[in-house]
Amino acid sequence: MTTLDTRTEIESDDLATGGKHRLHEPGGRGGLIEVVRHRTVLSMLARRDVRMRYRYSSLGFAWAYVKPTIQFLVYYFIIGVVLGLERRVENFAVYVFSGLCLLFFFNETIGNATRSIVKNRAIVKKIWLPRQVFPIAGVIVAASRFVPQFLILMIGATATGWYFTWTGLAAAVAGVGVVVVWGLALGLLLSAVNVYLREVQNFLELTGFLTHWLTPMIKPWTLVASRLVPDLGLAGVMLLTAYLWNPLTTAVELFHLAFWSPTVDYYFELSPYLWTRAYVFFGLGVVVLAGSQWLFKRLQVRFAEEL
Amino acid sequence: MSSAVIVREASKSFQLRHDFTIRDALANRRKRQDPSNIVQALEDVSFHVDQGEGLALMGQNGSGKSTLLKLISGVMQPDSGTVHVRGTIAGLIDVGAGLHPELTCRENIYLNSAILGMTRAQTATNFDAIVSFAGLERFLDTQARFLSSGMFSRLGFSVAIHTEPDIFLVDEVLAVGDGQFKRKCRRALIAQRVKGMTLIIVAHEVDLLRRLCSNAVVLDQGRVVFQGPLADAEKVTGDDDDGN
Repeated sequence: MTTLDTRTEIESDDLATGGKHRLHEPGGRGGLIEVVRHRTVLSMLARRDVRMRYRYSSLGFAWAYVKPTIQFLVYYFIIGVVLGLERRVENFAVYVFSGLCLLFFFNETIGNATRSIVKNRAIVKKIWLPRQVFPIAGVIVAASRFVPQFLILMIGATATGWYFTWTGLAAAVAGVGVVVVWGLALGLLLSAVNVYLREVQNFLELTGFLTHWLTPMIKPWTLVASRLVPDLGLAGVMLLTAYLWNPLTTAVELFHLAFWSPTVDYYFELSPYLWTRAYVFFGLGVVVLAGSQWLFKRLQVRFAEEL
Repeated sequence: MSSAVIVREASKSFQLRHDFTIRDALANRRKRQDPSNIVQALEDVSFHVDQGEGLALMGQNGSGKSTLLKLISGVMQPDSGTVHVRGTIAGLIDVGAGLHPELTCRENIYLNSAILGMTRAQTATNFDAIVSFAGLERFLDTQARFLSSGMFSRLGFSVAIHTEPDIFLVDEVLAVGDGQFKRKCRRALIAQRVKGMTLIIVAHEVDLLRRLCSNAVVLDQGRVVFQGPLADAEKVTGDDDDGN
């Protein structure tokens, strides 16, 4: 333990050695590249969460289907059959379910990601890992629940006359892409904010409800337009624009284009400028993701002391 | 000899917060500056540890030892000053931090090794050694919550020591476990020290520290009050009995 001028050593060390045995600041800089380097732990955490969720249920993984199935049945019978929307929208079941399973994926992503840092506080406080692994593992868990629902959608659509088109494939990929980018962007941001203000997770209870009713998941945009524009005039046009020009409406409509429109004769219910919105909201999602990663990087510095 | 850890003029303070809701945060924004809500955990701490050295961190409860380990492991960042390290770190700041009570021991070994930076293949290679070191062969498919606290920490320690880090941080973890396992840990730590592992350890058992460390840093209220040979540090702290 001699005293030494550490500044000199750090500087001369930088010149002398490289690689793993170079002096460096412990922990990381908080970039997303570190997550790629830690992909083993990422996949282990995702696997742990999937396993934990179903360990205490006799239905096991089938439990993942119960919530969307019940939601689907309620929407189908109440809105479709009782309120009669089924007579206006051909093949209403596939119309609803294609939007529902995509929004379920989105809401799962946001929910898992937002709670992830606080839930894993024992690790975050004691061991350094790139903290983004926790919200990203949440996205992977959400995806693992989306895949079986997606298969059910495929079965339902095929049974009602769905056929393959390249446009449909592009629309499906774009729909999932928009949801993943926005889900990850908002999930990263909310997971970090939730460390400082725990009540953020209370808002999650609302997101499922809001996304179902503020997108064309249940009712086609034409129905919304026919009420808003004549009744409210300019304000109605502005509301309608906001209703159409948002990432979730875009994603839902892309899924309608991919899985519902091939099964019906008339699909004028699809909203206009769909592909333009797809490009805009995917691009914008990437920008928002970059911004939320930037904020996450700053907020995560004090995670260990706030938890 | 080059340094494994260099801490230079590091300070760390904590803000005591009472506002976890938006309303509280708005109401309290003036109180933020109130100095009585700020705890200075470390103040202007400088020292360095050579590669292969064993360093004891000593001081009373609340003197900043654990905060210092967290700065070295990268879990926290200093408010001012710098921390530099060389090589890989395994922080045993808390035994079993990455252990999940609902997972089986087998699942926990893989998960915890991954958290400490090992790949699945590396863990598979070490798996038998980890299990036999922890002495948990019979409990491999038992959920960790059914283990006794001693077994739990044995599992945590065993995984951590088998990652063979360049720098090993240990925070009072050897306080748990029975005497036989403590001796086993001590032997494992000595074996790793011989291979060139750097060790920074917080412990109150002077007998243990004597075997593992040649030097010590003594903290008091966040400041370094002594650094030098362990034997002299014992005089400063007055812990020259067996520490208990």
